[in-house]
Amino acid sequence: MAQTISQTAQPAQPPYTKPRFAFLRRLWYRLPALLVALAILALWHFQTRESASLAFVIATPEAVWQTFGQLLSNGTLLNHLGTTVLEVALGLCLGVPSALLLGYLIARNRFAERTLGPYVVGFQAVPLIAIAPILITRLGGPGIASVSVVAALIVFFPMLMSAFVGIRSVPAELRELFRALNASPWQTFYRLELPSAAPSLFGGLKVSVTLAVVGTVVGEAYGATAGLGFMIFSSRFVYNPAGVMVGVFTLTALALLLYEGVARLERRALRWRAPQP
Amino acid sequence: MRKLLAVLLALSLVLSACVVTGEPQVGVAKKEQGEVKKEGGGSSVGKEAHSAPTAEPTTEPTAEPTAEATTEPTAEPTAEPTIEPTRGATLPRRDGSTSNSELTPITLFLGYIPNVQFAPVYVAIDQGFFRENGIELTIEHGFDETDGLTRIATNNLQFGMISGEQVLLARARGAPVKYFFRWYQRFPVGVMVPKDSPIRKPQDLKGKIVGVPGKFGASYFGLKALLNAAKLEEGDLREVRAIGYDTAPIFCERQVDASVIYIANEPLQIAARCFEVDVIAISDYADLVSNGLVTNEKTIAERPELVRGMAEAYGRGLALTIANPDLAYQISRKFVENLAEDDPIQKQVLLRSIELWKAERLGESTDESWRLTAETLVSMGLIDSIEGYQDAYTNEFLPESYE
Repeated sequence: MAQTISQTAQPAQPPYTKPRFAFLRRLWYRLPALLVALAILALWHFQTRESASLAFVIATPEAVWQTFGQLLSNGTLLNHLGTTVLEVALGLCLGVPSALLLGYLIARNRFAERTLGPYVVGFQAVPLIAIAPILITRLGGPGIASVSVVAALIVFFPMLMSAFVGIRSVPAELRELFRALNASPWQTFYRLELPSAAPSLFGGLKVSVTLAVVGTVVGEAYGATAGLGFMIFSSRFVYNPAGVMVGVFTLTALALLLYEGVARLERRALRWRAPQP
Repeated sequence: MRKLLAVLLALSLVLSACVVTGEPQVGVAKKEQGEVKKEGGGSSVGKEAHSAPTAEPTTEPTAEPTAEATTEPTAEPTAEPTIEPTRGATLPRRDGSTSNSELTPITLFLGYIPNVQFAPVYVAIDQGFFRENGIELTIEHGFDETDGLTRIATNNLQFGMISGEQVLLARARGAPVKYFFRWYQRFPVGVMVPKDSPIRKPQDLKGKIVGVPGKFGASYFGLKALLNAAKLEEGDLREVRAIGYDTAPIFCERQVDASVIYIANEPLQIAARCFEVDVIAISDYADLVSNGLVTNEKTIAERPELVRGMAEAYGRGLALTIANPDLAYQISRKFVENLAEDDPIQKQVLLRSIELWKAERLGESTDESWRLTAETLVSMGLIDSIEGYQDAYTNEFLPESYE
């Protein structure tokens, strides 16, 4: 009887939630996105087929696929992808920790907020085009270093804001509790602030990894010899829209992959939290 | 909510379909408006419109192009700062037969930003040469030459100042564009070295670090041609380093041994900032095609008089600039913001540019230069063969003289 009651107390489970239908459930979950992709692909295919004379402007899906295979087999794509991944990684390594440190500082210290806050916000408004030449010159010309710094600058602000918001959102009563328990600063940070700010930090990190990809392309626009952004620009120079699209899709895939990686990390790191509605 | 999303999705798909298939109508509309017809010393536009049956509303032909002229440049989201044609429009007309309503609005794509190096265009506008040929010219500047040429190829624009190698590259991909007036008779790119450098000729670049803005574009293309002429490979250099477009800081700090630059302005700027320089002009070793007037084949087929009018008007502006650089400089001040009345560097830039424009017959292309340009592109692996290079240009629209 107790078993019956407990069963009826559970929300009704649809049949596809059973483990053996896990694949179908995942497919069903992804179906709308897949249908949108198919619709776009079909539209693209038919439009480009009708505009054969515009081959120098718009590539057909077939041409993009062929170019993808060609660039993959001759190693060009992997070479550019490797450079961009390295730049993204360096940009994140530079931008994220520095943003976290500064974000924590201005969230915890009113003096630091008053002193540094306006500069941080103001710096965000400085167009990269104005400072890129200085960066490039100081870093010995365009290359992985300057592109990584540009990517770091782009990821810096969203990450800083998420750190700031996350730390500021720690409930005051919990702080009081930790104080009453004589918790050390490290314990307060590790046991209270970090877990409380984690959802906000992961939100910021999700934005940052995709922005880092955009940042590398922006950085490569100021002069580079490799990278997916460079591949896109050089393909444009020779009126090769298929090469451009291969670069764009590879960048998109990279951004999605990074985002998914952070999302998984978030799920794993925040397992302790109550399930979100 | 789902319905709303579905409607939004459908709308976005329809919108994207419109964008993808949107066939520019500018050329067609202007064709309906009328061809440019030269009569005697002057010209008139809109003959067909005027000879149309009286039942046709007489305001229609003039209303259409006017609307296009005002909306077309601003409709482009990537449009760079544009000099409106009002300056030209306010000038007294030399030829009384051409009224505002008879002018054909044309947007000319120019690279870069307003600069004294575009003096011939400014002179031709200011002196009314375009208007005398029935053209109301609007300038549209843009950093992206590729984008400009693509828009010309799709007839979104009809004319632009584009470099020769871009025309060959675009044609290799099927773009129906043609070069009809060679503005730069000498390739304006060179290799700059410090005056005390041991590099005196292209062969001396062996084992050196050479800076280029990027490993694409006219500078890199010019360097490749120079290396070809000197029987050198890129691998013979110690490094071809991409240093971006702001050459001065890196060059002045001698981070590179030589730098590929635009010879009209950059050596002057470097000399003013750090030290004296020497320049190895690429045109002394390889006669490559540089910037010139480009149009599309549709315009050539349907409106040849318009193309002829552009060539003549621009040629007259060029001839007057070469003959009277001081006048050209003063006229340029009307178009170039912050160009001082007597800026010695900018005047030198103009004078050096003029040296690159001079020719026995202004605007004329030679087969040898186009062939060499195509061969250089082949050597770079950017096109498969030189086949068809002769279709990329024509001299048929050049007038006999620019009097």
